[in-house]
Formats: sequence, C-alpha cells, structure tokens
Amino acid sequence: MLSDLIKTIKDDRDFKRNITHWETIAAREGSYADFPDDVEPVLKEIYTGRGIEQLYSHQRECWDNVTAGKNTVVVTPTASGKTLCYNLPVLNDLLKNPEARALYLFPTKALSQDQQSELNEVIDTACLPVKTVTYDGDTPASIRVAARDGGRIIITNPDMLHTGIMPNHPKWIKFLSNVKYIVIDEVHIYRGVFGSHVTNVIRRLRRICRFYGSDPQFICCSATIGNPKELAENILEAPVSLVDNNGAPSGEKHFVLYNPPLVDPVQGIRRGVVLESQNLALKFLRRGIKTIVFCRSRIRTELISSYINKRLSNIFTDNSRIRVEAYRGGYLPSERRQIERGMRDGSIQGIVSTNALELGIDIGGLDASIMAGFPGSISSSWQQAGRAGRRATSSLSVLIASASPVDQFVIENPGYFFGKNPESALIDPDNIYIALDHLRCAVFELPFAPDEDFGRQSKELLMYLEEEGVIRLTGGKYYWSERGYPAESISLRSATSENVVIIDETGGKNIVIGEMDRPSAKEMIYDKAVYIHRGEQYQVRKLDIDNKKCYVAQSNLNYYTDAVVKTDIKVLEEDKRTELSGCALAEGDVLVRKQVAKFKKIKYMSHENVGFGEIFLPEEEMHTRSAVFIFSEGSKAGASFDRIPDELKEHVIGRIGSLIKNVCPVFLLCDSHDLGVAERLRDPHFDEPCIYIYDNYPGGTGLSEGIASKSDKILMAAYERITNCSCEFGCPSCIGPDDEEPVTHNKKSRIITFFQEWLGR
Amino acid sequence: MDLKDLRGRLDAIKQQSAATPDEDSRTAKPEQSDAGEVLLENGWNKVEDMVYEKVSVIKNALPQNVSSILLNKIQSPDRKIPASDLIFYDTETTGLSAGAGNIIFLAGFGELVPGTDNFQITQIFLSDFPGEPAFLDRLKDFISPERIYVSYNGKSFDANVLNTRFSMNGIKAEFGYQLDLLYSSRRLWKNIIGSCSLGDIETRILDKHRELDVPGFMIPDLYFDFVRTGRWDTIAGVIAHHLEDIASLAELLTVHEQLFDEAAGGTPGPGNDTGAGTTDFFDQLGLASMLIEKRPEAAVEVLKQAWGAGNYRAGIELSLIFKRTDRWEQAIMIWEKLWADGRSIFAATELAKYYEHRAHKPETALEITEKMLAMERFRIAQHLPDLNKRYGRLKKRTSR
Repeated sequence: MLSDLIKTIKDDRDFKRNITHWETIAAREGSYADFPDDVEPVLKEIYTGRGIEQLYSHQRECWDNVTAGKNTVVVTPTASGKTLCYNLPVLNDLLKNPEARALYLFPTKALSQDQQSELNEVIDTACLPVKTVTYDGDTPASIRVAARDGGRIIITNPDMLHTGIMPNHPKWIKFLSNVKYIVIDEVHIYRGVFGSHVTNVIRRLRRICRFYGSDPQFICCSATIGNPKELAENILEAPVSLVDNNGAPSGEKHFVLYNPPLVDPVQGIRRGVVLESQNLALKFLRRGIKTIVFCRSRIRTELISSYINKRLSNIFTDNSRIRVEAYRGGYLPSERRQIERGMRDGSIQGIVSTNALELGIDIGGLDASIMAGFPGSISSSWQQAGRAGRRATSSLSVLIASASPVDQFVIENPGYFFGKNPESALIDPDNIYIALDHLRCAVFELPFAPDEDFGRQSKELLMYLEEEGVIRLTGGKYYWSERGYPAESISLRSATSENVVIIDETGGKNIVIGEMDRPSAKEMIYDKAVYIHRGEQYQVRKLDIDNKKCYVAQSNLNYYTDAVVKTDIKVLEEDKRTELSGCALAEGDVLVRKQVAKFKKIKYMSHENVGFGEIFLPEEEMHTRSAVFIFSEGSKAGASFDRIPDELKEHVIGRIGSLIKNVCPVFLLCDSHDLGVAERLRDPHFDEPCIYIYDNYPGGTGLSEGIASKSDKILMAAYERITNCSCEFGCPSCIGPDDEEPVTHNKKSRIITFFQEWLGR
Repeated sequence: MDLKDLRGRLDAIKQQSAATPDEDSRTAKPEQSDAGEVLLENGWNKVEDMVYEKVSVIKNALPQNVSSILLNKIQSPDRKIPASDLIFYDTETTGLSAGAGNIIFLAGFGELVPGTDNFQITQIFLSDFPGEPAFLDRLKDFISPERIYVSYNGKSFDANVLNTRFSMNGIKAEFGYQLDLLYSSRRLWKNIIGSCSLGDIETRILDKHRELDVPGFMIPDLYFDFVRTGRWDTIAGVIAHHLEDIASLAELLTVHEQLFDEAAGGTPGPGNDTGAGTTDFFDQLGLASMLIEKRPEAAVEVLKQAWGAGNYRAGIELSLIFKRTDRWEQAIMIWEKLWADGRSIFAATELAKYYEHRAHKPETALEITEKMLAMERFRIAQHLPDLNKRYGRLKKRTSR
C-alpha cells in the first residue's frame, strides 16, 4: 500500500514540485540471537508466547553486559524492543533471587504508567511473583505502605525519588537494602540543568544504597543523541558499556523534505503548515496508511485533528471508517491509555500529536509520519521520523516546512539536515548551586563524613554549609541541624508541577476533563478562551488560578483563540559591573515577566483574525539571574554598534543575542533551553543597547555567573562560530537564517565586522 | 571554586527575604566539650556519652485502674485495667516534619509505679548527634509490644519518628497498642472548642495555664542553640515544657475516665456539678459515639439527655439506636416529634417506611408522603425521585 503511495506521490507533479529533497534509507535485515541458556524457562515461555522467538542482537548484547555486571546504556531507535533490553535481565534475576528488587525511573508519569501496564502483561501471563508498583505523586496513600514493603519493581520519576523516597529512606529499608538494578529510561532527557540535578539525585541514591549495603547496577536507555555513552557515564559517574548495534530489522525508509507552494510569489507567502499537513494526512489515511502528524503546539494538534475529522465526516460511510485522534499532554490518563490502545489494536488509524509521542510510549507500528514544522532539533526530527517504520514494510516521513527562517533554511539545505550529527547532551553536576542543594539533602538523609565523595567541591561546600549553621560537624561527621526538610524547596525542573484542573460544567455537569500546567493555563485557558479537547470545543467560563481550577462549557463558536504573549525583563538589582575589553558586563537579579493581555479570535479553516478579547490575569513572573552585555557609550562595542545603519540595528543585535546564547551551552555544560535571551536597542535600565542572557530556572542556577566568568571565551567562540560557518547569509548553526527574500543587506558580514571591531580582531 | 561569590550571593538572597539571622547563635563557636555537662548541675544523670536522664514524680496523677472504653479494640468491655499497664510518652525533635534528617533529642515516658500513687516520668536527653545510637538504645528499654502507649498525636508522629530512628540505627523495637488521645479528644471537644492542640485542650478543658511556656515551633531552634552554646537557659524551657506535656497526658486521660464513669453512672451532661469545670463541657454526640459499642446503655443515656435539652442530631442518633434494637415505640416518639416540628426529612421518611413496612398501615404512610410532597423544602432534587417512587407505590397499594 505504502509503496503504491510512494510511487504515486513521486509521480505527482504538483507534489513533486514542492519536494526539496528525497532521502531513501535502505532496508536493513534484522540481526538475531538466541535466548540465553540461563534465562528462566518461564520467561522464555512468556516471551515466546508473545511471538518473540528470538532476541535481536542488541537485546542479547545488553543481556550479556548486564549479566556480566556492567552498567549498560542501550541506544534504541523507536520500535526496536527497548523495554525487553532491561526487563529480561531484571525479571530473570528477580525470579532467581526472591529478595532482589529493582527501581525504574522514567521522566514522566505517562511513561511510568505505560511501563506499568506493559510489565503487568508480562507478569500476569504466568503470575510471576514480581509485584510491580508505580510510586509517584498520584499513588494513593492507602497503597503506599504495601508498595514500599512488597513492591519488587518500583516505577517512579526522579522528582518523586528526590522529594518523596530518599528523604524518607528508613521507610524503604527493605527495598533499598535489596535493590539490585536501577533502570533509567529516556536518559537523553536528563540534559542541561535538569540532568545536573538528576546526577546529584543519583549520587544521593548511591549513598543511601551503600548505607543499607546494596550496590545496584544501572541499565539506561537513550534515544539517538550525539554522546549517549558519555552522558550516561556523566550521570552515573561510573564506567558504562554502550550497546548501539541495533539488531531490529527495518523496512526501506523514505524521508522527504517538503516546502509548501508559494501562494503569493511576490510577497513570498507560502501555504500554511496546518493546511498542508492535513492535506497530506488525508491523502495517506484515505489509502489506508496509518499516519502520525507531529505538531509544535497543543492548539495545532487539536486544530489539525479536527480539520481532518471534519473533512472525513460522512455519516453514511462512518467517516470512511477512519478514526483520527489528537494526543497531547493534559488529557486524562485514562483517555491517553484508550488512544494508545486504539493505535495498537488498529481501531485508530491516524493520530495528531505534540512531541508527547516522541518518547517511548507504545502505540504500535505506523506507516507514515508527517512533521508539521521542523521540531527544533535534529535528534527530535529523527525521533519523530522514527515513529513511522515497521520491521518488514517501507515507511515514509515528510517534514513540512513552516514559513519560519529556520524551517526554510532546513528545507532548502538538505545537506545541513542530513549531514549534521544529532545534538550532544551536556550536564554539569558540579554546578555549585545544584551540588549545594543536593548536598543539603544528602546530609539530611544521612550524616556526612568529610571525606565522602560527592562531586568536585563537596569539601568546600560542606564548610560553607557549616558556617551557615545548616549542618554541624561533630564526632567526625556532619549532621543536618536545621528544622527544615530541604528536598521540599528544591525543584529538579524549571517548570512548576502545579496543574490547573479543567472542569466541564455544561448543563450542570461537573466533570474533570483534563489538566494543564499553570503557566500554560494562563496562555491557553483564560476567561472566554476556546479550549479544544479531543475535538470537542469548549469555552472557558472562569479560570480560577488561585484554586487551580478552570470551568468550561461546551460551545459551538466558529473561531478559536490565540493569546498574545508579551515577555519583558526588569532589572531588580544590579550587583556587579565589569568592564570587559570592548563592552561592559553586568550581573544581577532580574524579573522575567510574561503577560497575556489580549487574545485573537481566529476563524476556523480560513484562519483570518475576526476580533480581539482582553485577558485579565496576573503576570507569570520568574525571579532569576542574568548576565547583561552592554554596548556602552565609548566602549568599542558601543562605538561600532553606533556605526550600524539604524534600520539594521535591531536585526544585528537580535542575531548576536541568539548567537551568543547558542554557543553558551558548551561552556556552561547546560542545554540551550536552560537559557533565555532578550535584546534591547535601548534598555530602560541601562540606557544603552544591551543583550540579556538569563538563567531559565527560577532563582538561577549559576549559569549567568558562568557566562560572566567565561565571557571572553564565549564571545570569541561566537565570533569563531560565525566566521567559520560556511553559510552565506546566516543559518541555524550561527546567527539564524535571514528572513528577507531576497536578502538586500548581508547581515552576516555586517555582524562579522561588528565583532571584529568589538573584540579588536 | 568561587566560594566567595556563592557566599555573597546567598547573603544577598537572605537580605532580600529580610530574614535577620540571630547574631548570637551565629557567632558562637561550637564547643568541643559535651554540651550536656550543664545538665548535671540541674539534677540530671549521665547514663552514656551524650545521653542524660532525669526522673520526676507526680503524686495522684492517675486513678489506679482505667476503663477500657478507649481500648475497645484490644480489651474486653467489662474489665478495668491497671493504670500501670499504660505508658505515657512524648518526644521532642529537631524538625517538624518526618524524614531521615529529623532527630529525636528528648523523649519522656510516664508510668504509674505499681502499688503506689507515684506517676514517674523518665526524661532522656541527647546532648549531641553522635550519641544517638546510645540514646536510642536507652529508649528501647521502654518499648515493648506488651504495653499500651498513651500519647497526643503519637500514633502518626512520635511513634513514626521513633521507628524511623530505630530502623536507621539497626535497632529492633516493637510498640504495643497506640492509645492516641488526639482522636478521642477531637470527638469530645472539636465541635466545641475548634482546635484540639494539646495547648488548647489544656487551657479550655484541663483549666491548666502554663506560665512562660516555650512555643512548640521554637523547640528545634532552641535545641540547635543549646548544642552550639551549651547554655542551660536555652534548653531548660524545652525540658520543662516536655515534662508538662507528659503530665497533661495523664490528666487528660483522667478527664476521659471521669466522663466515662459519669456516663456509666447516668449523670453526665451539662449542668452536672462536678466542680472541676472540666467534665461539664463536651460534645455529647462524640461521647456517645465512643460509648456506643461497649456501653450502649450509657450512650443512650447521654443521647437522651442531649435530646431532652433540644439537641436534634442527638435525637436522630438515638432513634437509630432504638430502631436497631427494635425499640420501635421510642423511635417513633422521636420521629413524631421531629416530624411535628417539620424539621426532618429523615424522620418523615423513617415514619413513612415504618407505617408502610412494619405497621402495615399504608394509608398513614401515604398521608405522610403526601404531606412531604406538599412541602416545598422537601421537594429537592436529591430526594424527589425516592419520594415520588414511594408515593406511586403507596397510591397503588391503597387503591387496591
């Protein structure tokens, strides 16, 4: 079926015109291995009963590594039998040793639930004596005790481990003294500041395990990133063996880059991603091809899925017997399970999703994936493309470019996209802010000997905490000597975990239909907003932010709503200013404020703006730290910036901001999402042109201090990045693609000149 | 590593939150000697390194025997048990939450010395962290599965923290039954005095007023001050407060006993003159709910008094007891009264049910149901379907 389609679209002149690149990746034979001889017969039986007669070579390799006692990281594309890599050796050992326990860590609750049901299926087949429990914020208090005492596999997330389990480790004695394996799935998620936190969580976990006499072995799984082995070794602070020879077979894979046609060649306006992706999806679905569409926002997910359903709708044919669902964060767990099941059993043929489905949630095999816009990183693109692809048949992935300069660059430069390695994940567990936070937790958990190993600077940090009176050195050990419970006030992630519950009040009902994190709620479900949930339209009656509730009622409006978000930065306190060679650098506390003051009403299908509404909500504020490059008067940067023609100034400063932000992660060992950037032509506080680069974690995690102390190197690296980049007018790797068509001013060369004058090169 | 910057930064944060650190405790350097030495000058004995102990005796704090109303779960109803089977306990900790970093530094156990009137309280004090294993070892002497542990909120807090400390230090100890007076106190007094903290119970119920008492939330900081400075005045108040808490436990149990005794003797209730001003002030429904299982007749007496005094919830409870025990006449009397006052949909429903199913007088039942349907206040969505159903059924039966 798919091969017919591929042929058709290859021959379709209209379609072909818009293709900028067609990459064919040859089919690959599977590479298999026998079940190991020493695997428990009952396990082999269960898996054979599930149609697994043989292992893939990488599953066997993982088994061999694990049974040899090595920490292991498996790099697994989607649908290559990842969970079996760890479940087989873990279950096997748990069956052999009735006391042994295992801890599974997943980055999200949804993944935990997914794993729980998968394990249940295996375990229930033969009533294996391996009680598996998900222990997270949703676990009812009534089953917690039984979970702690009787659970042999505990599935949780790093946040729960950090605030709930470890500070109360004496309640977990039985589990922790017997824990033999720790499985960390989706380890590539633990990058940047989040990864640095998680590394410290693992340090603490190891300490507690040592106290109870256990020394667990680690099994990690990672998506394809630039440095999986290095990342795992950095997180575990131990040697890790890498398994990356994927033995799963795959059919031929077609990766198509598609640029929507110009509708107004004069102004350079192209057909939109929303329209193009639904056209394509419909074309695929009507031919019986199971298709996933990835969108960049929750609103788009709902829009595209309802457009597709609308165009399929026909009561006589039951919508041509094609069912299409949306999928995103914020649905109720039961709804998500239902959709996942529907995908697996074939009752749903099409799905429109956010990147929520980029991770390893099991939705079975798909034939085609459509990316409605570039997902933002090379590794995400491959993850999303990987959702399409079965073992035996061919698959198709289409990346549809939006009008944004980055998308247009990627689509027009296939060499860039296909030649670039996936991004590397960096962490800095010895970041003093993060390490200090976790050291406090560690001392709370167990008295600390001064010579214990806990990161590079633990000795100095302990002294510091002692001077602060937080811990006390007595009898040769540091003891926690404060009344508080430190883990409570330390969050591993920048995003708040507070959720607003969405309640349907239609006709006197009072039913929870979904949830949303607080910052998004302010931007999406304000009063009078249109909220679409699995294709059903609701209008918000009242968003009660204080009580974390949003009341909605079903509606039938001909428009949806889109908030206009304004971000602004206010300097709270400038506590340091340094004169660099060529500019000034300030450091201080800032308030990053996001304000949604109005929303647009956008008509369905035509997407024309049919009005505005006002939003009355408090700003979302984040108090954090920032480094500020100031092109002060009289400095070299200031003088050079002055010489730039006025109409170019904004472009130049904006691009320099992104450039500097993009080179920072390498020096700060963080992720680019950990930093925010704002450029000002004339800043109200400094009264000069300046660039803020701020820490995206509330309170700051030392990144802005890192920028300050490494500013020379960072600026030099930025200069080198732009001069060494082979592009002509800018690309996503340096200052970002130019948005002018045709380019009238070469901003890249102007920026190089500016840098030369600034840095005196 | 730039510790200086970090320190500067944290200081800046501190200034912003306007928290002014206590200069005195911050500048004092930790003493290398055992801070607990000062306890020896104040009547304490040293039992181990960093572990100190003191015994205080209170006369006539407890009756010799206690009733088993509060021990329903483990005792037969008719036996009184010797008060010397009970052990009253309380702990002071370095934190207010649970968790591995929260340490017990002061524990006390009160017992009635058999054959005497002496209520003997043993307080055990940990003068610094490294002494914890020896400290816990000494506490363990008081923990036995055979005894009954009387506390205020000990069931979910103190016992929990003790178990945490024991297991972290590899000590095996098993408590006997936890008799937590917080729960019974809430039943007796929450509806009357609201908050049931031990402090509120003391002032409102025990008529006990502490002078110069240390507020509970300051205790952790006072202890940290003590280990840093070794000054008696930092900790003296905490020790006194702790002793007082255990004494109050005994008094509180005594008040419970008086209430139960009076209820059994048939003379409890507002207006009765025990003089102490303590036992005439309680929630009759709460008392009845405690008595109902083992002393049902005493519960009935308490409820009758309350009903007589116009407590209509007591009437409902009472009628339900009568209904359960087949004393229909008395139950009907109550329902009739409630129904006559037009107050209770419950009473009317019960009456209708009674006349329909028990007395086999569908006409009377229909009459009541019709009246109910005619009353606007009963026509609420929640009840209406049942009401209509009954009406239809009775209509059919009476027209046959």
